[in-house]
Amino acid sequence: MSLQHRTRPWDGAPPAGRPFAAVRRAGARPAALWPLALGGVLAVSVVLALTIGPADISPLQAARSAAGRVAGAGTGTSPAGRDAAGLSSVQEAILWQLRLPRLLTAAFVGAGLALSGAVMQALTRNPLADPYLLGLSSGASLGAVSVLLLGAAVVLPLAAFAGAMAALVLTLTLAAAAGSISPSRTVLAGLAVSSAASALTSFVIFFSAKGDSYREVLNWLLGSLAGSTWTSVAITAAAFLLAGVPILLTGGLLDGFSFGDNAAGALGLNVPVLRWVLLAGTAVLTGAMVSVSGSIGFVGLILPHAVRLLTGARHRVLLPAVALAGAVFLVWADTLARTVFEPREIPVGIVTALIGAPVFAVLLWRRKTQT
Amino acid sequence: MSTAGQAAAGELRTHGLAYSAGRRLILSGIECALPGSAVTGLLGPNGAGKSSLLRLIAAVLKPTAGQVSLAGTDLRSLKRKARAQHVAFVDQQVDADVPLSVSDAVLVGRLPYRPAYAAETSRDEFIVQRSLAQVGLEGFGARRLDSLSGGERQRVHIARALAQETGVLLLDEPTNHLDLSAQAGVLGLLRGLARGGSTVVAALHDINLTAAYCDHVVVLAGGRVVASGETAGTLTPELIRSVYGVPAVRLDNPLTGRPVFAFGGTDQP
Repeated sequence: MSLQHRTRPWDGAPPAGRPFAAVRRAGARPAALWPLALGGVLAVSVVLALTIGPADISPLQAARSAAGRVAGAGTGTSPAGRDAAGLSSVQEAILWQLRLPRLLTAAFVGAGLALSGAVMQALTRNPLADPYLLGLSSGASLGAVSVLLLGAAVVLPLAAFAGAMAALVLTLTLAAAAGSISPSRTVLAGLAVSSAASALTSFVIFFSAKGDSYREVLNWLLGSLAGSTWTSVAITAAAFLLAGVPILLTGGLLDGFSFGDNAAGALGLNVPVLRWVLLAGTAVLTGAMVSVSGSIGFVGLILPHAVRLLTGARHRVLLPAVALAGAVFLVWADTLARTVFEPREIPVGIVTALIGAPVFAVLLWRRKTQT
Repeated sequence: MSTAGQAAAGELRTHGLAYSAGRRLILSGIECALPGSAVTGLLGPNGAGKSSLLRLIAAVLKPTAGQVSLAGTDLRSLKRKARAQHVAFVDQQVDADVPLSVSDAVLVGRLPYRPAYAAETSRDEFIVQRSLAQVGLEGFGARRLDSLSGGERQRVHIARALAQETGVLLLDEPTNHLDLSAQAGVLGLLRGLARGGSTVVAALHDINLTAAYCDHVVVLAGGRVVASGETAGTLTPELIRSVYGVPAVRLDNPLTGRPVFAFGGTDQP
């Protein structure tokens, strides 16, 4: 047995993960610090992004206004914050009724999509898996667009969730009909369902949309956070608490899937039940996120790959780190989307695709050079 | 070398085990005894049901009839996690570029010992290091799994099974795609584990490797056991001819003193 360590092409230029690899030989596991670090980055990102934009609000003013609001909430006198920060009532409203709910929605949507992607990649053992692959996003879009054009916008999140769930059940039934649910069959079935749902979505738009609804639907299909309200925050936060947190807590089990379903079963995991429960969880997440933001691409695909380079592939560390990194990513992508072409705003899905596609190409290239 | 673990080793027995996939009968009436402290080779042509039998024993597949017992206990009567503390299974090499490190891959073997939400303990870490040492991979812990050679990777899979601390170790074609010295390395390792008390069962394709390393053999053909017993007495040229349709002669390997088989062409036109 050869003990010789093969030289890898990137040995000369150590990527960020290298120093940790060296420490890990001593038995420590500093990779577990990544979630903490990313949590800090997220907090700073939200505060910074809150003050970026045309309304000319400084971080100090925002902080004073926030402090005022907290104090005001304590004593029951709400306008105290504005006086202390020296903000106009318009600036106040921009800060607390537009930017903050939008930022928080972006954070939850980013976290939910990235987490869903990581879980799906583990369950299907397919590095290309993400909410789009199994048809969930297309299903959610179809549900939402149908409701949107029929004019019953009240049940939008519910319709999106139902669409995602229906797409998931259809995908897995289709995969199971051809034998056991294998990774490749799941992916092929997902592609079929996704194409069908996309075609139906286009069909619904083509037949029903008139005048302004074209724009609305387009925003919807490309993904946009422009319409975020505190209701969006509530929907996405609830979905994350309901489905995301349980997934984060039991994510260690996903490691058992690394070597195939048989190996997972021999490790004492109930493979079919776990797969259904976890995929249903991602359907809840994806449905809720798509219902407030439309289908934002690449977050679920790219972030798990990028974060794995930092933390390694153990899901106990990877999943929280991916959720936090997804939140940070979408906060900044949305900030770019609303400020770069000011006063025009572009759908955030365009930004994530423009960043995501080249990043994905780099990741693919790195994979190739490593093996 | 210490034994693989505290869990009960001992004799594995299958009782009237049958399995069908859909309407296709894969295995039927499988009665065999797989002794403890020994390496048993599972032989048979492609499609004979070797993999299915191992998966039934590992309880990854559900039999259509019959049961598997370990030292008298029905394995299916145990809870999943408890069973995973008695029986470990190394599947055919799935060619996955798993981005795990070697020690993380072995740590997966500790899953049956903790609740879903719990982090690994220092004892888990210790057992991972011990398992890596047992398979001769000290110092490989931080390497990425996909940077290893085929033989090293198979050793990692065996270390993962050892980390499960089971008395029974099942392996599906552990020497596939390995070069000569890696094959000998893996099978020598399995013999060492059997000497330590483990019940080792390996599905193999190579009759001569089986003859050289296995104490017992079970030969399957067409979903049934056609022969089983001590290797030297069971593996005969007649058996090989009837099972594989290939004429064979038995020789003695002057290097090892174990039997080897030389094969002629098929005797069917």
